[in-house]
Amino acid sequence: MKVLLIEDDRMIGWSLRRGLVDEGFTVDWLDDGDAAVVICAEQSYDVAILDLGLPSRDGLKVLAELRHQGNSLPVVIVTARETVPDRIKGLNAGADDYLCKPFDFDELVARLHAVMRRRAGLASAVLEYRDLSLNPTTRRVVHQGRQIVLSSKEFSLLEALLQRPGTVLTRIQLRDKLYGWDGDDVGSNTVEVFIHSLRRKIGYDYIENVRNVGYRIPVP
Amino acid sequence: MKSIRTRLLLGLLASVVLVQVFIYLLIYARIEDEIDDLFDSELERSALSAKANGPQATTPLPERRVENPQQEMVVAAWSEAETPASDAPPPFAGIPRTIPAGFSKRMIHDRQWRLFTLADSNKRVVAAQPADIRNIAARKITLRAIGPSFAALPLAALMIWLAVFYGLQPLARITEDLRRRSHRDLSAIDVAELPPDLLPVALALNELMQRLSATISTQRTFIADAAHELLTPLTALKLQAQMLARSKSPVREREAMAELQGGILRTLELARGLLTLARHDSEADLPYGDTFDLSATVRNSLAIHIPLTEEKHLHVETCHLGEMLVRGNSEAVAILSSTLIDNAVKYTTHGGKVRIGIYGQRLRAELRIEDSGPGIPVEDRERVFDRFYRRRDALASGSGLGLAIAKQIAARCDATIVLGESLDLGGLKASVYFMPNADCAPES
Repeated sequence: MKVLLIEDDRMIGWSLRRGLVDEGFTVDWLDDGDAAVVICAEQSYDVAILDLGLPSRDGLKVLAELRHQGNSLPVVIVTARETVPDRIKGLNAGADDYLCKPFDFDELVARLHAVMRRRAGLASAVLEYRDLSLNPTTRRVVHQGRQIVLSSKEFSLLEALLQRPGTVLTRIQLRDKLYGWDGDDVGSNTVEVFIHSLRRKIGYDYIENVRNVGYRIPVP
Repeated sequence: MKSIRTRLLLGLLASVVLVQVFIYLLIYARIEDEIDDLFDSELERSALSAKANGPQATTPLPERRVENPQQEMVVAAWSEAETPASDAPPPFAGIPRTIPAGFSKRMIHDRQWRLFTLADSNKRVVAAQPADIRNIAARKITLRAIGPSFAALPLAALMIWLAVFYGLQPLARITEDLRRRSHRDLSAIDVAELPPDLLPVALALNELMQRLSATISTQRTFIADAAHELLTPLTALKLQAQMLARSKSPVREREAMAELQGGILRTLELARGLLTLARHDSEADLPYGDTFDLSATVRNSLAIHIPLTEEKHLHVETCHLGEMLVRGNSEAVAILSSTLIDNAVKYTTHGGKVRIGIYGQRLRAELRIEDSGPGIPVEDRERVFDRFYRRRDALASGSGLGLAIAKQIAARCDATIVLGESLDLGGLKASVYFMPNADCAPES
């Protein structure tokens, strides 16, 4: 899952990015509101963490601009503005959740998962497909009643495909989900490598090749 | 100090009593005169009637007739040749034979007597009366005349008390109004209904309340801001501690530990900044009138930063750091110069230059600190003095308070800080101009 972190405090940003990466998220970190608006128009993210007290452009304005552009990216506001009117303002501006500083890291992660689950229209956190089930919170994948071990990238790939069965994801989209911009060396065939290793672990009849476009999990 | 009410009551009562006594004395004097006239004419009349109808000159003396027992008036007559017998009743026993005619006063047997003497060729008639009878009568009459007004004194006292109570009513109302307020209510006293005497006091009070409420609201804003600003470093600390706890390898643990320590330093910095700000608050009571050597203060501040300048291989140049007296508080100015030097050193990159100089003359000096760092763009040069304002490229460890503190200290020393661009170093130029007040102009 790919997270856009918009936080101007270097220390908070550093810790959040590190913790989120450890949790298996792919994180892009921005410290500026203007840049966030530009990036969101170009890149797709699963969720954004938005601080409100940003230099150059206030977080609420960033959010309003995103919604104005028709961007429905799920947004969790993380801020020191803790009064009820502030929360109401944030939620009314189009935020999906509102978390006050100082917050607990695990709570933030749980809320990120909850927001994305709601967006996917799922009541349960677990993604199920035929005899395959994937739990994004515990990061466990069970295949034919047996837990299988996936690497972090393989897991993200499978999660992205399982979220919308039937939808074709291009190689570029998949690659973006796996890596931030400062990501490790991204080879052109990296996605194929991970698809290959994933198929070896869960079997070849789950992920379908769509020639010259990308991959999908067929509608059951 | 006595209350206004007591003063008024005592003063008014004393005045009334004094005026009464004064009136009594005046009336007494007047009545005494009247009584003298009255009794004198009585004496004269008695003597005349005694002479016309009374005993003849041949009557053996003393023949004493008491004309009016209450008035103790006595009349006696004797012939020219006789002398009142020594056993005659007072006052005649001691009367000399040749007493002059007309009214006279005489001390006879330790008592003052008023006499009226009629004398002709062969006979003397003397009417006499003790003088103190008159005093007693005068006193009696006076008391009778003035008595009712003394009896009315309690009534006067009551009226005075009521009048004072009524007169002080507006004061009592203000007092009650102020007493009933909560400590948060600093609204102005309603002056529309007040008598003009109380207006200056009420207006002064209102002005004081206005100033007080401005100060309180500034402090409240500051506390709210400070609390809000504390949330960011505390959030960072919490996350950093959580990251440390989650670290799975020694390398990552060391990284997380370093981050946590940075977070703690930053929080400390903020707390220290808040304390300094409070200590040099405009309300704080610190002596700002000392004259001290600016260069010594600046050299001390510089010394603290030497390790960092060496670590960063900065070229530090000092100009005119000879003795220079300025006015202010040396401890506060040390914080000011330290803040400016700290900023210059922190923002100047490895191998850069910092120049520190003092220019001008005694009491009118300029402390100038220049660096070859990135500088501050013109549009930000005012805002950087705002509390908690941190520029985007500010260092993570900053509290956003350094320059706010510097500005506050400068203001209290009658100095001004101006930020500009260093022409030859290319970075920031911070100038502190020490401007003495008119009353502490340099002595020649």
